[in-house]
Amino acid sequence: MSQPQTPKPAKLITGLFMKEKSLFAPVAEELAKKLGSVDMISSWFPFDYTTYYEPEMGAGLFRRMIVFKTLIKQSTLPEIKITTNNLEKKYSKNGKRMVNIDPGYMLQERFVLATGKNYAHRIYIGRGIYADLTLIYTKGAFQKLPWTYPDYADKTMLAYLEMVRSKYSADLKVLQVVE
Amino acid sequence: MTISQELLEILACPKCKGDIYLNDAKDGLVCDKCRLLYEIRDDIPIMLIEEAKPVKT
Repeated sequence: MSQPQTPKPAKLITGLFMKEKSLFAPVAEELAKKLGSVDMISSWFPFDYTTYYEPEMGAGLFRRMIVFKTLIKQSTLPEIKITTNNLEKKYSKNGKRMVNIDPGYMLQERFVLATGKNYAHRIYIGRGIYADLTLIYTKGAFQKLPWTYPDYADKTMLAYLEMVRSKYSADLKVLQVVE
Repeated sequence: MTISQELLEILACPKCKGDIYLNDAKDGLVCDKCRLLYEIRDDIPIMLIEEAKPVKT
């Protein structure tokens, strides 16, 4: 019989994409105020795998990732998603988002994104939010799944996430020493 | 220390969000704008503003 276990703290990651790069700094500042000081920030990645967001956000979108220093409880992801949704609303114009923010977390064995959209492979985690198992870590690398968004399976993104995973592993070691 | 140029180009300064580069000693990443050095420890860039060191001139 399996016994209930306390889940490990997770590394909080937000993926942002936008057309106007100048919005990044103020949004990142607000995220830091709400979610804590930042750790690794990525450079700009092209966001050109889909045209799904063009009617709302326009063409020529760019993605950037922000990772946060303090590890989170996995159970707080729905609340964080609601926080980032509110920030998206704040930066909307005429009902259209100027910034899209995808919060998620990393564990050593997986990368999970929060979403409000239900689907066959997504698990309800409360407050109207679902968890999307975006990547799994096995055989020494992150592996995409049939439903992984192409931008999260991109080689550059995976290299960035590998670095984040290394930092997260180091964070866990520090936690163990403190405990 | 084995951080690659490819990885380096993925990261940005957490303070100004601008470009960074590997220093000559190859043990840290430098932001010229902020005059800060982010150390690389055990091959992991420590991209925390509070742990960054001022760049010596």
